[in-house]
Amino acid sequence: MPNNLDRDDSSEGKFDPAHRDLEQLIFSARDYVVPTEDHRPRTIEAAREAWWERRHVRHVGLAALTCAATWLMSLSLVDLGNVLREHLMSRSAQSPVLFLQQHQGSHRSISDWDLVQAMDRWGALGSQRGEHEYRDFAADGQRAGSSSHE
Amino acid sequence: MSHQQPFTESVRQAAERIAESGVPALSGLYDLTAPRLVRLATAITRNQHDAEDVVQGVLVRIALDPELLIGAVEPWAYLLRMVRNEALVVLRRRRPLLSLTPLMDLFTQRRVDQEEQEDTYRAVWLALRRLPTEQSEVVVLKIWEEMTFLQIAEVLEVAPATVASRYRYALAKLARRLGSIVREEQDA
Repeated sequence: MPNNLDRDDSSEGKFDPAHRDLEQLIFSARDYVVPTEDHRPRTIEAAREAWWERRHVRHVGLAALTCAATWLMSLSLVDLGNVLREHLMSRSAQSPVLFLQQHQGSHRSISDWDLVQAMDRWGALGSQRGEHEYRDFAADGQRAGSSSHE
Repeated sequence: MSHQQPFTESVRQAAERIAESGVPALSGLYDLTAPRLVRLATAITRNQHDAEDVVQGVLVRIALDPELLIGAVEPWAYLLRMVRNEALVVLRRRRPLLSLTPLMDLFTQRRVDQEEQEDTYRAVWLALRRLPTEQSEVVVLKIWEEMTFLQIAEVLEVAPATVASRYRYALAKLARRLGSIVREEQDA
């Protein structure tokens, strides 16, 4: 006999005796249908598989995230390296002292006029921060120095 | 509502064990709830194979995320609602085939002393299957799950008065279909 049929539940109202017998009849069929014998192992196995699958997906996702993070970091490191190199190049380009030191290191004397020309071109090159230009300019300076000797 | 409280607490504890020990602890929740869930899902889908798939799917979800039950105010009602919603999805997908399934799909349990009752049980199940889903689920929750209209209303997310109305319509239909059996039982 269902417990709730005897309880005072204001939303239920009273059932007439015919319905009470009917309810008892329906209640008696409650345990007639049961899960099939393989349902329990099937369910637990499915849960286990789903758990492994989710774990696998999480690992793959984590690996993908790590790869993406590494790639992004390497990109940003390359960019950072470029910025630093350009910065250093521009700093060295703006330093006449460094330039003079380089030429003194070449053991060649430079005339005053050559030095003025060189400084003009150096200033123009200050805006163009590239290694090639710097090398070309250094080569020109050397050529100019040697022609003045001739 | 109080007579459901120990059971709903057992459901919560089973979910907590799953959270602590993982999937192997699902067997505890299965043993506690699966027969009742399959019964409800079978009443809604009108096919036990579909019902078992529904229950399996729901229990797998719980195994992966036991917090769904642990965090619920009424874990048993929440579980019933999950099964009911999944069963309705299956039912909508497969509605045209309904008329082809009498009671052949049912996996039944017969004790020796209940063999003579089998015809009665089959008649009850057949009568339930002929009810509209919204009425048969109310009957199952009211009589088999022993819930009050208020509790059923929470599971079905409708007003208690609607539940009571559906129940009375269902009983009227069942009385017509099972009246002769009721009278035989009374005479016996």
